[in-house]
Amino acid sequence: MSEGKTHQWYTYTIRLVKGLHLVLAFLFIYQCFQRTNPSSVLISTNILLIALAAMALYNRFFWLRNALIALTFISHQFDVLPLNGRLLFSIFALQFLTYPRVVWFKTNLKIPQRYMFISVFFLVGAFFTRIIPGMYFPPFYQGIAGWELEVGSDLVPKEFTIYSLRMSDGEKFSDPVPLFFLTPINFYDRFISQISRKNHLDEGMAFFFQVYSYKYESLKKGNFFGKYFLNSYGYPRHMHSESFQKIPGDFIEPNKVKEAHLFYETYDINGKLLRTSKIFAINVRTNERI
Amino acid sequence: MKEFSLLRILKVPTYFAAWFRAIISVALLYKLFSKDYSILGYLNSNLVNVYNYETLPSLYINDLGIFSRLLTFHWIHFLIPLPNQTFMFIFQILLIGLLMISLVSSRRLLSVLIFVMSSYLFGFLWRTGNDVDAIEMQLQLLLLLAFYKGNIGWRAYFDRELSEDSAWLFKFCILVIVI
Repeated sequence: MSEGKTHQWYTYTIRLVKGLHLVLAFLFIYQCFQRTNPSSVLISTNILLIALAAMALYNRFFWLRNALIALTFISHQFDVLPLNGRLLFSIFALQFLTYPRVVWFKTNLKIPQRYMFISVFFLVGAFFTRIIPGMYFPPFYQGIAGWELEVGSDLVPKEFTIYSLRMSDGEKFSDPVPLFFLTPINFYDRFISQISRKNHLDEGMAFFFQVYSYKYESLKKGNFFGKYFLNSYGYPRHMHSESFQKIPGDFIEPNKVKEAHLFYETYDINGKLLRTSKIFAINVRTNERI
Repeated sequence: MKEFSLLRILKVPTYFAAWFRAIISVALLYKLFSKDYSILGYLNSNLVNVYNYETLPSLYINDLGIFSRLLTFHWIHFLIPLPNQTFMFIFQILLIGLLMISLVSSRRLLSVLIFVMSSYLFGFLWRTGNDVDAIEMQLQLLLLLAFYKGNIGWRAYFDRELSEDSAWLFKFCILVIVI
């Protein structure tokens, strides 16, 4: 590629990334106005300042390769990460690492000194956010800022409610099928609440029954994952509170199952079933709601 | 004026890239050997439009779903229907096979394929409103490998020669892991 064309591509890339910065800044402003909690607005404003600083400092060439990676870093985090400084810091640090000639580096520092500056900056930041309780300065965090709860004896939960899936052959219910059998779908509660809100719970229940049929043999043997995969040596499930729904249990064979029921079940802290309320049930042969 | 860059100065041994790839591949293999992703083949189109930003709109940046679709290569389902369970099972086994070959192969196309296939597979988790299952960092590292220019065959595990390509990988590796 000739030098002129290369320069043209650089120019396009810079425009692209600058545009991206603008979009992000607007998104953050929008988020700030959406929030009701003053402390979270404060946090967002802090991030916004960094965003603006990053935008202002951004006046250097960006390699096309780096720009593509930056774009993907950002977009992978679009759906996934909570709103915190990581997103903007990833843009900020990208140029920070590749082109250190931003404002405060525009000095006569030699290269080892620049490395030292970066190291000391991170060390000091990390040190202060560790020792000062509740200190919050992106990109340094100690857990989730502002989330503290003092638990007294009267605040310890006495009971808890979970989703429970039970199969029925028309006469009796099976033991609750632990919804962990849906793994790798790990946040099943979030999944169920969303499809319920969108009125797709009947299809969801049909899906649960299909997976139940597929995994019946391995569930009977006490394995969530399937017979070809590592069992208890596998990568752990991303869920907790599985102690009250144990496998192997008393399950009904898939060809004898007539109905699939979804319940809210409330247990006490010792695992004793207190209450049950039905949410949804389908006939698994016709996929119609009962 | 010639632009100054740390990239042109720092040099890192080639074996860094090889061992870096080995660690990522083994971590992914462990994850793929642990869970049966083929059940995702039972999902229909109504069940794969559940996004995290709908559940927790105050916490997640507003994504219209289109970003997730484009970047996880799920845009393909604008054209063709969702896969079935058998396909997903074969897909998982194929990905496991590719990851194993990639441990000793120097083909860059393989790295690109692995990135695309992993993004697609874990894209189902994005689209069913799940937690990401600690996959986000690994995907970013795979992306680095897809853009890596150097040659990393099986000999590279013992190659102590300094290279700029390894240095590039090293820097972005720090970027991903530290941040």
